Amino acid sequence: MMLKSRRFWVILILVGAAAALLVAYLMYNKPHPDYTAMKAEFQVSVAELYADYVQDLNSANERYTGKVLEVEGELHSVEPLDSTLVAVFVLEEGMFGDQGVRCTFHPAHVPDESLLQPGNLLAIKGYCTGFNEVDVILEKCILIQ
Amino acid sequence: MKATIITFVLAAMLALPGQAQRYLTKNGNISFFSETPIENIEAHNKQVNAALDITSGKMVFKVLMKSFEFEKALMQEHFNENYVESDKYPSATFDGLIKEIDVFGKEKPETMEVSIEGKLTIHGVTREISEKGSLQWKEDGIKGDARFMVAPADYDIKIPNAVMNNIAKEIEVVVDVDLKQF
Repeated sequence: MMLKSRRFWVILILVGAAAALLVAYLMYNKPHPDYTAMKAEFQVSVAELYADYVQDLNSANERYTGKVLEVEGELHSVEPLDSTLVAVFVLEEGMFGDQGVRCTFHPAHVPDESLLQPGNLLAIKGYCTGFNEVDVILEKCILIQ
Repeated sequence: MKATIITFVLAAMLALPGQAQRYLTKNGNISFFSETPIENIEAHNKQVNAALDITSGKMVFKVLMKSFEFEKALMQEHFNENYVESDKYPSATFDGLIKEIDVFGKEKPETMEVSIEGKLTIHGVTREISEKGSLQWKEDGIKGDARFMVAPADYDIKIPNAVMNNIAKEIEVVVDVDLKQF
C-alpha cells in the first residue's frame, strides 16, 4: 500500500515536471504574431496618420505604435529592400527630402509590382513601429486593395 | 511641427555655412548581439534613419525600437516590454561628429578609419560615447560601418535576476549604413 502511494507521487511529480518543461519549451519557441492575419485596430488615411504623429508624437505613439493599422493613400513610389518592397507615400517635402508613410511588405506577401504603380490608390495593412521624425513606419504589410 | 531633438540637429546641419553635402539613408542596418554560455541573442533593424553631413562631420541616427526583429518571439516581447520599454521610449538616437571628416571629404580615400563622438540616447538615458568606425566612398554614396559595445546597465535597462545569466553584460552593436547623397 505504502509502495503504491509512493509510486503514485513519483509519477505525479514526473508528469508535472514534463508538463512544465513542455510549457517552457512551447513558450520559448512560440511563433511571432502573424500581423497579416490580424484585424486592423485603426483604419486611417496616410495623411491623417502622418499628421497625427507630426502634431502630437506622444499621443500618436500611444494610439498607433505597436498596433496593426490599415492605411489608405495614393502611392508615390516603390523601393526594393532585400527580398521585399517598400510602398512609399509622400506627404510633404522635409529638410532632407520626402517625408510620409513607408510600408514594408511581408516577404511572403509581396504584391505584384504591376499593382504598385505610382498614383494608385492603395489600402495596406501592417504593424506600425512608430515615427522616426521623417516617416511613419509600417512593417509586415499586406496589400488589401 | 513639433520641435524635437533630431529636428534641431537636422536644422543645425542644414544651416551650416558653405556647401553642405548631406548623405542619407532610410534603410540603415543596426544589429546587436548578446553572447553568453547559456544562449546567444541577436536582433536586426533594417529601418534605421541616418544622415551625415560631410562638410561638418555631423551625424544623426534615429532608430525605432519596435523595428528590431529577433529570431524568437519571446525574446522580442521581453526586449520591448521589459528591457527597453519601447512603449515608453519608442526610439533611440545618436547625434555626433566624425572627427576626420575633412580628410575623408577632401582626400577621398577609398576607406578610412574614423573616430565618432557624440550622444547616444537609449531608454531615455543619454550618454557621451566615443567609438571607432569606418567610412568608404562608393560609386553611389558612402558606406559607414561601426562596431562597439553597449552595457544595458549604463542606460538604466534592468535585467531580471531570473535571466541575468542569459544576457551579456555588454552587448555588441553593429552599424552598417549605405548613405546616398541628398
